[in-house]
Amino acid sequence: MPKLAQALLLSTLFLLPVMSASADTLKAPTGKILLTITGKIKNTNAPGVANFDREMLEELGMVSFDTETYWTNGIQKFEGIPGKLLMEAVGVTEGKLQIQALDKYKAKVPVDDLINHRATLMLKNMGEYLTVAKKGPLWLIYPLDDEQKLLKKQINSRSVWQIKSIEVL
Amino acid sequence: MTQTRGRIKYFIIFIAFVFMCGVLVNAYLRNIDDDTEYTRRVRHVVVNAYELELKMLELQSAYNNFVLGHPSFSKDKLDLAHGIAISKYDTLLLGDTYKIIHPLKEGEVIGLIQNNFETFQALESDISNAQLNDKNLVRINDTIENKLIPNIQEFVKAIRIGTNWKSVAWETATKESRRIMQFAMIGILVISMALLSLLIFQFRATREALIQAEQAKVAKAKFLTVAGHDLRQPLQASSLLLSTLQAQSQSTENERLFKGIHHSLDSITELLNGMLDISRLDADLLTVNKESIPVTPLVNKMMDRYEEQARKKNLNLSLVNPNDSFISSDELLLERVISNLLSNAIRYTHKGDIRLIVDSSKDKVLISIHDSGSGISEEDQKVIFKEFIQLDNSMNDSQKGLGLGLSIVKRLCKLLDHELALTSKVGRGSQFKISLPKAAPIPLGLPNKTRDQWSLNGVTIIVVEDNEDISISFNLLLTTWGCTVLTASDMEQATTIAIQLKKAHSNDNNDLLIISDYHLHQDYNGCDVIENIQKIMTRKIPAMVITAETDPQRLEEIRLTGNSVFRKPLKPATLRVVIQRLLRQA
Repeated sequence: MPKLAQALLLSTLFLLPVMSASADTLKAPTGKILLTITGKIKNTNAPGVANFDREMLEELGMVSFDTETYWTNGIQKFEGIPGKLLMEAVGVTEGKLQIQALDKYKAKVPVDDLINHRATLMLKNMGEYLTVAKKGPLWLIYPLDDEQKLLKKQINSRSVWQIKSIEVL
Repeated sequence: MTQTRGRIKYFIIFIAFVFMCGVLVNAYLRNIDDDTEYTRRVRHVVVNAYELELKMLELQSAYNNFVLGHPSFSKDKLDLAHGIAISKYDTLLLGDTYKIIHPLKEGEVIGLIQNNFETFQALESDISNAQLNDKNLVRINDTIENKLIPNIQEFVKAIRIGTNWKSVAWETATKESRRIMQFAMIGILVISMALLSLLIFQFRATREALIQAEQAKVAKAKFLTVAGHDLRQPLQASSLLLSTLQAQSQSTENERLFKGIHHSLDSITELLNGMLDISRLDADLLTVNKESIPVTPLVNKMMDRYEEQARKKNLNLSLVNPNDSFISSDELLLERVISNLLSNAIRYTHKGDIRLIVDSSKDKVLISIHDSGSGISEEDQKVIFKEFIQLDNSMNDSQKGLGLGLSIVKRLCKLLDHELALTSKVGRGSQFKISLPKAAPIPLGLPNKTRDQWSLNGVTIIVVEDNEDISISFNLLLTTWGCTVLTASDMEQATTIAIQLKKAHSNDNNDLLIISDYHLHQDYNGCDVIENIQKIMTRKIPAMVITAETDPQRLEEIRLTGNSVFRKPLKPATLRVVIQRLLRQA
């Protein structure tokens, strides 16, 4: 019996680092953390958390599009990370996101918006990184074009600016 | 064609109406949406204005604490508060929010925010470069405390929900949907007006047509009355004259000629009666005047009228009338019905007999006419009551009528509300049955059932007639029957005759009779003359009024004076029977 207990203990000790290694599949941020994702995510780089700095975000793949928004004048050029890529990075395919802003605004956004409605986390506006004064550092923007199927009032409340963290529900 | 066009017109109007209603409903729903959206945007503006105030206070606190060296307030925290405050100004001054605030108080509110932002911007570099124990602390704190915050509170107050939102910006936000709504409402109004005017037009057209039809009916009625009156006068005269001529120059040679002329005159009379009857039925001019009528005199009269015709065709015309019943009907109209049926029976029966049968049950009297003619097949039974239908077309032309008889019978029976039934089999003759309601007997001199031929010898008859032809023909005819005839053409002459008679036969109660035309003078009529004569003679003398009048109401008026009324032309045989009956009843 003690032998069996010993064996079990040994195997547990052996397996622990393997388990934690498989969870920390994201590389660790080196710069200032811009975005923290928590909740039901598969890939992390800290216990239960996925932290991103600007470099990591840009590595996911940047896109650029020109669109109007309800909070700017005229057509604006935005550059950012497609929500779909961010969700893939943390291994989320469905559910809802609780997005928290620096000014303490909170909004719930379906993951579907990011995957199918092209909601994008913008880093740059007119070639410049978004500052807090310009609704940065991350601003969730829905492209307003003919393919957009969401209603104005849905887009209005879900377009969170000054994004600080996301909790996957 | 016009009806189809009219229908298409209404259809198009209906489609347009439905379309406009659709547009209105759509615009209304859009207006509601616009309104909700506008309210949402207003709320957004208000929330952001409050947020600006809040964030400004946070910035003030962050700045003061940082400069004064509070351990938990870093430069980063200050920069964050600063950035957020700037972004709140941005939110109010860009995009949709700007558009919605701009029209408020004619740009006054947006001006306030812009001024405020400029004041804030003047502090920007000082806040960005803030240091511990910064010498700008008092100035910046003062500016925020005494300028920016009160200023922000001022425009927060100005944009508070319920201020001027509805009147200014709301109108532009909902302009389009309200335009469409107005358009649709005007459209519906116009369509309704069009429909209304169309209906009014239609109504007027219908009313005009009705008035015209009514006028045409009155004109027709007038024409019929005049035509009937004017045609009967000469017929009456020729009928009487012919009988007189026949009586005077009876010979075997001209016997046939007389017969022929009589027959032709009868045919004309019958045709005329039929035509006038059907015209009056068409024009709805016949008024039914129901009263209690004794059946016996009626059927006797019918027998008198058709006996001769039947005899000429070697037909045996017989009457079965076991009871003296009273019926409720219009005497004149019922006479036309039985006459038509009898004359039809005689016309279409070539041998055998015709029977007029009166049968009575508890509350009904059944008058039926049986003939031994060729009968009517079932198919023909369906059509014979229609106008201008004659079955036995091989018949001699002179015998032919207009084919109106049965149509008149059917329509009169309907008018009188008497049930008419026909039973017939080909080769076995036909029976027409009229079912009449029984009526209470009225106390009249009971008519004699036996119809013995009374002599008119020694009877004195006063004839009052302004038409000389008719007067002469009466005189001749009555004289041949052995009567003493005294003719008068007006009231004066009649009075003279009466006075003379009173002197000569003061106590003679018998065999005096008056025959008077109705239309004599504009101041008096036949009834007045009769009354006058009776007054002079101081007794009720039997009298008959003869008239070409066809208006049933007028006939009824005359009847109400107590005199018997007869329509022209009156055939000699009928005249004789009537005279006999009147004298008998006296």
